[in-house]
Formats: sequence, structure tokens, C-alpha cells
Amino acid sequence: MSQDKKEDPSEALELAHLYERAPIALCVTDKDHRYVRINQELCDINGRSMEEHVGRTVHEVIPHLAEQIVPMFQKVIDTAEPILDYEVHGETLRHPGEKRVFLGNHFPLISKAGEVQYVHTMVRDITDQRRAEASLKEANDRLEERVRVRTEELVILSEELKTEAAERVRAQEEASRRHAELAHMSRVRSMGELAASISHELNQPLTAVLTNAQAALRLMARKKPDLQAIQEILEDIVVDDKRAGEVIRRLRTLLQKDPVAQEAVQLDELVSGVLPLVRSDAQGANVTINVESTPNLPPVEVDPVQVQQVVMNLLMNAIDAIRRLGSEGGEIKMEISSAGKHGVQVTVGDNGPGIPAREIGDVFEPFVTTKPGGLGMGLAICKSILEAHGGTISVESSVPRGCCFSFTLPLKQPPPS
Amino acid sequence: MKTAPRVYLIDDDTSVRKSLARLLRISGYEVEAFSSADEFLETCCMAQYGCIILDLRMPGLSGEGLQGRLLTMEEALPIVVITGHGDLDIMASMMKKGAVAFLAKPFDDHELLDAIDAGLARNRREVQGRREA
Repeated sequence: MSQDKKEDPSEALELAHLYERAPIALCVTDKDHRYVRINQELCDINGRSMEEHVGRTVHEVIPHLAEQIVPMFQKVIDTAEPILDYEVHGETLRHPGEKRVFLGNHFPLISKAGEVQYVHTMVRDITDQRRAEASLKEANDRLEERVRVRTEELVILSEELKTEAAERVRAQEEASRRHAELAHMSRVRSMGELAASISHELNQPLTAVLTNAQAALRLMARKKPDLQAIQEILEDIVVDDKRAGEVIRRLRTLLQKDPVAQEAVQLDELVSGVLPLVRSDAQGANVTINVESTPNLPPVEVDPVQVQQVVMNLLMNAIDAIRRLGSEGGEIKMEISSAGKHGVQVTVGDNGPGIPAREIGDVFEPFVTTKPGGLGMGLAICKSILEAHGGTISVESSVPRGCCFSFTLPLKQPPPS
Repeated sequence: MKTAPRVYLIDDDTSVRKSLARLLRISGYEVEAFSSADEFLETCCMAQYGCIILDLRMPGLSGEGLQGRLLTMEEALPIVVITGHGDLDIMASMMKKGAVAFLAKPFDDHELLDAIDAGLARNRREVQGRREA
């Protein structure tokens, strides 16, 4: 290795070679801005040969760029300070008609006496880099725009979710209101109680009418009837008769043929909602309630509160029936299943005493009851509700004892296609 | 002392109260009508001879509650109960405590007048018994 050292190219030659071939534009200019040395890269940029440069001034070689370059060279000479990252914009002969960008570093070459003798220049054509940066920035801007648009979409989506959440809260409030209605019904216990309160309201005007009529008859029986008094009585009778009529009208409204609110309802969910309301009665009578439901049943379109009344009434009847057998308790079996293509069926079976065969045909008639103290309205109201929904209800005796009520409700009609 | 027997009528229903008072007056009784048991207790000075016609379900003190209060008094008047409900348990309990009759609305005028006469007869016997005692 040490032997080779002597045969190494001289430092000056190596530097000259490097200067010549470096992929960066280089030149040295004197104090008059004449090119002293220039490499091939800068010659190529300027579009002129090495001979056309050396000994000529910047003004002479690239007059159109001299305005930008010469004052800067002069400044390096004057201040003996380098100028770094200085940009020059303009056309060159290598790329005629195209505006390009050059980034230059300029260093003073200082003599031993301390004077600036030359300016050494290194130039890079950064046009392509700038373009790449620009397109990168553009891409970045596009990306940011997309992010912005997407963010807006997300904000809108989030608003929609908020609205949806609010609607869900409203639905929950609605459900709890329903539950409160049902709980109230649970306190009223059964529609029999409702019928009792209606019969009480009817009894009052009927009592007044009868009493007034009989009072009038007593007046008529006198030798000289007090017609004025009789007229007053008749007027009171008219008022009380209308009052009784009003009670009947309200009862009709209660059992109106058209269900008020039609909703798509899963009957298994509806039944689950009723069970808590009869739980304490069932426990009190030592009754277990088992529910079997066919999965994925289609919804029915009903007034849920009215159908809940039906379910509750059937369950309360079954509990009462089992209770009549004594303290041993019993079981209620509920089944929710498909009733062919067009409906869903719910059965409520108990192992209570059952219904005597001669009475079973009449249980849905008003004022027919097999319960001691019952008013015979509950099943009549159930039947009325189900028929108003286009459904049916039936009953059969079970073997060896108990009975089983079944009702069906039609499926939600698909919208006409 | 020969006053007409007095009937105290307690019923919260205006029509019922008015018609019953009318029937009783036409039938020769002196009637005082009250719309609640509380009103009766607050305002009435019961005469020595008389009878109470009492509705069961009323706002405030019930008919059964009023019977309980009257039982604590000396010289209480007999009670005829009238009700629009078939409250069988209450009926049994009130009859046991001395109610003269239990009439389910709507009832016939004869039923009511017979019950009142029975009440007044018992009242007379009780007054007599107290005098002799």
C-alpha cells in the first residue's frame, strides 16, 4: 500500500477531476465577475461551452440572469462572507422557454493577504425538487380537504346519532308511560274491577230514576196531584237518564272497535312485559308461569296496550282459577307460536279446576262468569279487543283438568307492492 | 212530645240524594240530607227519634267508618245501608254490628220505606228501654 502512494494521482489532479465531474454546478469567478474556472455541469445549465465561459463576465455569458447574480457576487467580495442558499429564478439555454429555480452557495476565496480574490460558487437546479414539493403539497392539501370533508360528514353523522339517541330516550319514556298505564291496570287488578266501577256509575242514576218515578207515582195517587212537583220530578228523571246514557257511551268508547294505536309488535316481547305485573299475584297463589316462544316470529300490528290487557286478563283468570283449588298452587303454560302464514297464536293454559262443559260455550258472553264474585266482563272485553284487531279467541278444557285459552292476531300486512 | 220521625240521609251522589229526600218527604218523613259522613258528623244534632240512611262508598269517611263512630256513642240511631256495589264482606260485617237493612241500588221504594219503618220501630224500642233503665 505504501508503495502505491507515490503512484497516486496528485491531489491537484484529483481535485480537478472531481471539480470537472461532480454532479453539481461549480464555478470560480474573479473580482470582475469573470469566469476563471467552470465545470461541465454549470456549462450544461448555461448551455454554453467551457471556452465560451472562461475569461468572460457573467454579464456576457448569461445576461438575462446577471441582474440577480452579479450584485450577490459583489456582496461576497465586499463582505468576505459567504452567501448560502441563494435562489435564482430564470430561463437557461438548457431548458429554453422554461422557468427554473437554482439554489446557490457562494464562498469567498481569500488570499494570504486577506483579500477576497475569487468567489467560489456551487449551484443546484432545484426545479424538479420544487415541483415534487409542490405536488406533494397539493396532495397534502387534497388529503387535508378530504379529511375536512370527512370530518364534516362525521359531525353530521354525530348529530344524527344525537337525534337518534334523543328519539331513543323518547321511545323509552313512551315505554315507561305504557308500563305505568299497565301498572295502574295491575292495581285495578282486572277488567272485572273496571266493570264494577262502571256498574257503580250506572247504579247511581238508575237509583235516582227509579226513586223519582216512584215518588211521582205516589204524588199521582193523591186526590189532587201536585203537577208542578211531578214536572220537576220528570225533569230530574230526564237528566239522570241522560247521565246513564253517558256512562254507556263512555264504555263504548273504551271498547271501541278501531284500536287506537297500531304498532308492529313482537308478541313474545309484549308477553314478557306483562309478566312482571302479575308476578306478585302468581307468587301469592304459588303459581309458576312458563313461557315458550318460537324464535323469530314475525311482528303483529296491534294496539300494544289493549293486547297487554288481554294477556294480563287471561293470566289473572288463570291465577284465580288455580287459587280456587287451594294452597297447593299450580302452573300456567304460555306458548307463543306461528298460526299458519297469517298470524301468531298465544295460548294460556292452567291446571286449575277448569270450566264445566255446559258453561264453556258462553264464557265470552258479557256477564257470564265461573268465578265467585266475578262480574263476567273480562273475557267479553278480551274478545272485543281481539276481534277489533282482526283476531280470534277460543277456549278448551284441558285433560285431566284446567283449561286453555288461545288467541290469534294477524301478521302486520306488508305494504302494497 | 210528638215530632215526626226524622230521617238522616247521607249519600255523596246529588241525584240519588235529591230523589231519595223527595220520596221520603212525599212519604211523610222529615228529611235532613248530607253529602258525606264527615258533613253529617260535623253539623248534625241527632234527634231522639229517627233513622239514618247511609251510602257505603263516599269521599272521606266511609259508611262503614261512620257506623263504627256511631257505635261509640250512646243513643245512636239505627242505620239502613244503601250501596251501588255488591260489597258482601262489608254487608255481613255491618249487619253484624247492627245495621237494620242492606239495600243494593237501585232498590224499590217499598224496600226502603219498610227498612226505615223497621229502623224507626227499633229506635222506639231502644228509647223506651233507655227510659225504663
